[in-house]
Amino acid sequence: MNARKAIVVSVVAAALLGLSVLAGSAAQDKNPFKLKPGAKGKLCLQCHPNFEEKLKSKFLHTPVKQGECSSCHSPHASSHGSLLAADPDKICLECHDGIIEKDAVSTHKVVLEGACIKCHDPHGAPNRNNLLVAGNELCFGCHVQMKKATEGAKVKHDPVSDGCLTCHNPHASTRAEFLLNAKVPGLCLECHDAKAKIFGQIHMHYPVEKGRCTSCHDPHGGNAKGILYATAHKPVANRMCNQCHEPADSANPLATKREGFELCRDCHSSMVNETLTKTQIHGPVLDKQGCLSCHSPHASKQSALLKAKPLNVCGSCHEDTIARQETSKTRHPPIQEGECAVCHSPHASDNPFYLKDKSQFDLCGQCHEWQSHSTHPIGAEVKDPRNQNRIVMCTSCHRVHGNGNEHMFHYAPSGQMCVQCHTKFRR
Amino acid sequence: MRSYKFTIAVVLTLLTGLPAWASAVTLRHVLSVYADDKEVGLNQPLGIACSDEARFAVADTGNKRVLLFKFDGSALSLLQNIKSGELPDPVKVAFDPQGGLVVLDGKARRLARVNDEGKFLRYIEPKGMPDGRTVIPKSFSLDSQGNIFILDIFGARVLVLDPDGKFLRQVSFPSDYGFFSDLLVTPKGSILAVDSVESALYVAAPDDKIFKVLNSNLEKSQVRFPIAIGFDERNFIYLLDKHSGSVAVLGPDGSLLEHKLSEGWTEGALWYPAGICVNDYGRAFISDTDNNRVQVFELVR
Repeated sequence: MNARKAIVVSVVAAALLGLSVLAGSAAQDKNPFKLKPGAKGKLCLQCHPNFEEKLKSKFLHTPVKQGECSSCHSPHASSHGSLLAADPDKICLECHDGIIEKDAVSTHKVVLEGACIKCHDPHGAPNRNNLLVAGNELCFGCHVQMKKATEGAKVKHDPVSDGCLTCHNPHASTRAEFLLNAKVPGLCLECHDAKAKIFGQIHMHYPVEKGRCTSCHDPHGGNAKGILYATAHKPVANRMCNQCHEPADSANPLATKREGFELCRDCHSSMVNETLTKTQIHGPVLDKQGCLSCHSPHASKQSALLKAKPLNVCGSCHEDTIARQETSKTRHPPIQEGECAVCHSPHASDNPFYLKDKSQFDLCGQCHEWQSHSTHPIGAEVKDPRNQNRIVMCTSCHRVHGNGNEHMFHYAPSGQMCVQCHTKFRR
Repeated sequence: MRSYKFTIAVVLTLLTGLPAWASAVTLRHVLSVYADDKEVGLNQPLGIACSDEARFAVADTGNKRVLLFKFDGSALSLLQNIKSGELPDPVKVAFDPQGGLVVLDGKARRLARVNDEGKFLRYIEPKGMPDGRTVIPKSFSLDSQGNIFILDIFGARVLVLDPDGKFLRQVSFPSDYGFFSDLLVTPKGSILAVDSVESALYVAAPDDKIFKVLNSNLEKSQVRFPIAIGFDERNFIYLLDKHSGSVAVLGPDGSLLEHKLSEGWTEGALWYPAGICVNDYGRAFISDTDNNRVQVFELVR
């Protein structure tokens, strides 16, 4: 054999060897556990006979249908429950990796958490897409308040009855917040014709199709005519849009007649004027947004036309203060319940921190009555030994918005709190 | 042996320099001011200002007055106790180049001039404004020429007026701001503005028409509710964090270097402070609002 022939033979032999290795590896990929031909799921059923019933489900997960139990389960051992082949929060994404698109604007929390089985049966189910329950009932399993609201609504919005998926994407949306299939008002205008005569008449010929429909209407239904939110601003309910906005036939009809609090002052003059006489005015009242920093101008689910629940409204700026309560060992009910206005005047006050009472002692005593007559020396006559310009008050010992210590004490353990002033007992 | 000595020398040099790296500045407490010369205690002081002549002025808001002090590093003396019917609710103060004061009345929402003897001179009314919009000053600052920079929260802008109140220009807030609480004009004419809600620091160069973020890396967890700005001759920025009772020290580029001070009631600690200024003598003055006092710190480098 000459050298050239030898090289050719070696190359061919190497290629064949390589191919056989590749072929073997491919075969192993298809049958990693080297199951006997035709074994697959049937083998599993020998020990899991009850699963036969599941296989009769109307809809089956594709690997189950193909008997590929080992697609998701490791037959020998696993670090995860149910012998799952991967982390239960991530295993579905191995096949369904595009379920959350990269540029998603909003994502369903359960999807983010990888809790797919909260909605889907991984083996099979009587419903399409292996859903555990059909229709809105599946969503209402978690969104209980929404169920109550929609079922109790006197004025229904048809798409809700048709199904949540009429407007929402159950996994994620690349187009809008709240998993909406499109942005508002575009989504609404898919059904509601803004050019229709009745649409113009109802909306006093204002170009509301350029606005945000959900600032007035509850898309899930409600009790008020036109499914307006429960609390509607009087000019809205009375269709007197031009009380605040420029005339409908003007160049810029959606513009307001004035800015900030000056617009609201026209009707709420006594309240605004009283606010302006205080020494401490809450900043947002006076800024460009003015009253709209906290209130919705049209309609709201909340009383006093608040934009959201009080805790969320206050928390949108005072995030760090609200967070104190969340990590606090002792909960202070007004904060926990989002009733910031129990202690603070949200518009203005003559007292520091916009407190409702000049005396902290009296303010706290409104709820903690017993403490107002049986307590540590406290009040205007008792100087704080740490600072000659402070008196001993409830807040001298307690952090009223909470902290990591019991009883919201500034220090822990409690003895450490006492020796801040009673220094002779310090060790 | 020679290279061994060299290595030791390098290590020693690095170790010597380490404290400077570890701390850009230390705030050493030197004085707490609790009362005027008649022992009337300070009550909820808000704004504070420093001058080059070792003077400082504080808006003693709860007592409806402005106190003008001199502190040369050892002795403290009260120069003026300014209580004026024209300025019943002072909340912010600043020195003008002539040595007088400009005071913001929080309730009347207007600025006024006071001379160095504490006598009310006149209100400063914006003149020649490009629009008729209401102006609500939240804070203000003066440059070395006496031009007045007003943080107008109603108009979401900073108005720049000449010393007589004539409109010169305006700088708009950015579109995504939270709530601007304070501003400061640097010696080079840039405007720094602090957003308490977003915990962000903004800057506008002298020709800018809109603010831009100086450091987008500042996080809410690092600075909870910045309320006031101080600035030293090294161009370091001092953000007073009201909710944590501390001072965040930022480099000239806005990068967070360190936190100084902590919350509390004893001297050197802060409890919901509201104002800060730094003078040319390397002293920081803080109106320690809920501790009802002013605290003076030496900036030790």
